[in-house]
Amino acid sequence: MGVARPPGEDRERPNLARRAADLACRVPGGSVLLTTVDYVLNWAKSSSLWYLTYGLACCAIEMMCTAASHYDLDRFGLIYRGTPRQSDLMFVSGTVTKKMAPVLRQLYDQMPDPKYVIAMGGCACAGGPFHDSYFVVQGVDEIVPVDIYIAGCPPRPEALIDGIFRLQQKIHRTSLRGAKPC
Amino acid sequence: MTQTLTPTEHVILNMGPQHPSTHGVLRLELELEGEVIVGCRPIIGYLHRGIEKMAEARTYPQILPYTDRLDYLSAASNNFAYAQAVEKLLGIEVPPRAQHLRVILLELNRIASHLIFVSTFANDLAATTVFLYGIREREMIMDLFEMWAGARLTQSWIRIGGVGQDIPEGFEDQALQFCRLLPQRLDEYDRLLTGNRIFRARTEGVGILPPELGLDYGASGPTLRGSGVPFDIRRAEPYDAYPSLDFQIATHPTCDCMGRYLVRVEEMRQSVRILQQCLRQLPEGEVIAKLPRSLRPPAGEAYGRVESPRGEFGCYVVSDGSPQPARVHFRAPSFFHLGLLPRLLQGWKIGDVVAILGSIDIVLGEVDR
Amino acid sequence: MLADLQAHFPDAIEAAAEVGRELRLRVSAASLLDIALFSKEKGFSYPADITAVDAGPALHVIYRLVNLDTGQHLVITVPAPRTGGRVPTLSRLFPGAEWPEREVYDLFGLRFDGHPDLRRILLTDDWQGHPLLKT
Repeated sequence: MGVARPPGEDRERPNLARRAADLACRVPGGSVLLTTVDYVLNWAKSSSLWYLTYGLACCAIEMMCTAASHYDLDRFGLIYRGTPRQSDLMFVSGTVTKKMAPVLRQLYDQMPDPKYVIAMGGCACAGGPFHDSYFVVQGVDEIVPVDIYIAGCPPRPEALIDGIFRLQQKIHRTSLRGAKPC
Repeated sequence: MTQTLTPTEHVILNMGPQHPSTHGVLRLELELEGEVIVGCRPIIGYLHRGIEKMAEARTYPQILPYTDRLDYLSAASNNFAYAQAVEKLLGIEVPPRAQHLRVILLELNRIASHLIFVSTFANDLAATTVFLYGIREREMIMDLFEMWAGARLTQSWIRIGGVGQDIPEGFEDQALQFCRLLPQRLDEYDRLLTGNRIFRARTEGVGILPPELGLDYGASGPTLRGSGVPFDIRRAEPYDAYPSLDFQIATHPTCDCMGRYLVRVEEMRQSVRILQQCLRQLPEGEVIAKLPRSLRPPAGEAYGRVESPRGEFGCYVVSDGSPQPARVHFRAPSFFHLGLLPRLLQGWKIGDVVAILGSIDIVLGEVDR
Repeated sequence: MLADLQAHFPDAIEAAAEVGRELRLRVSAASLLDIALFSKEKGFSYPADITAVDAGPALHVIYRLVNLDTGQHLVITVPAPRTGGRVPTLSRLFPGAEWPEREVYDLFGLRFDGHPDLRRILLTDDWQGHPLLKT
């Protein structure tokens, strides 16, 4: 039962936080400090997921409705941002077409780490009802790494909120020390 | 003494396809001279899913759920246009109760779509409060849909020959309660928006659409009625229960964004009138016509037309006698309105783009199909 | 209207039928512009839709012009070859024809002579082929 790597860290680069965490592991009592730091960081990350307004099709309307009155995403700390530079989370809500795919990848690359992707709806998960279309990408995970898949066509707002909770749980399972246990 | 101005170049500004105010995956290449727009090239196709091609490999009932995903803000209108075309091919009559139920569904969809329009239009012009209020009202309609059809957005409830199921118990009361509530809420929006000086400055006199230009481009719906043209398919080519219903076509003579906004608000009030009449005079009977197990319309072609919240939504079906159609084509009002957009934007400033684009109320699902 | 058309264009109309409120004609590409101009002057000035159907040996381009005063639809079918076909553009007469004709070009490969901006509209610019042609 290892610790999940923080999503988005799929390339090797010097990570001072990681090195500090590994160091802390070797010091007596250091692991307790690390767990506390992990907890605080994960609490901060999961409680203020700012998402990019990235609505493609019908699921975008349900995303809007979830964000607005009655369901309200703001109470979970989710605020919509128009620019990928200020967002942590991208809801891919709707069908990804071959024309849109490069744009999606460009937006994903512009988001700073740590970033998360939720594939919302059947189309984003696996092509949805357009499984035999000549112009539809069969699931957004062909283009970007996906953290959470939410099925539905479109998924209910409650399903979307459930997906967000699962993402928050996933974030809580991450740690600064990466995959190596203490 | 005149001074020569510094020569400037035109700047190309890219808007979209990811943009909070493009109402979907639309890309606009704006050619600017300073702040003034001298050219606009809309680039579409970012949501082209190939629905028309896929329809050729599906049976007639299987195509129906795809139609919801076209103009997804008003799914029933698309269902209806397609169902009407197939019913014409099959030569079947829809039972009277089903006709009234369809009108109820269509008008509820119309109100839901116009509420999204008001919400997003106001939101684009930075009146975020109205966005939240509009969605609050729309949630009541979503509850009604969920009660009846099981789905909130893409109901697929208008089927070939009628509707999916009869209304459940309690639906009529809840719907009438909503009809009592909505006009008061619309008055609230009027107080917040219509008289608001900033809103008026950004929409009055902005984005003038001369009626002849609209007609030349095949414009329809509130976009055209905001220029004073009283063209409404519910009156021009009535379908289902509309001939027996009493309602007015909303038009406004000013041809600007404010006119198109006011037309949609008035249409919501008229829809409430239609809903109340339909709910009170629902005839008894079947909710769907008797259909054979496998639909094989005789070879031929038919065109189903509906007054969707955006305008004339049409569905052209060509049958070759087999269970799959030979061709299905959807005539989307937003497609024609987007073709009109470069002419509409000419000469306005960047700040007006959002107001003008919002006022023609497009949905990319039906533009790209 | 049918009588008017037949009087003015005795040889151009290959087939005609009145179905409900539709007046369906089949004409050749060569006579399309004249018939369209005549119809526009007679009140069929609203370009409701332009599309195409791959009808086996030929492509059928379908024009739908509506007379908003009488409510009648004029549905003109113009046959064209499946590959390499060319049809005159209606966009000079009906500005609203510009985009639907681009779509027909994009999905079927049919070219419209005189079109101001004939390029793909829905698919990517480098797409090979025309998807709505039947294989």
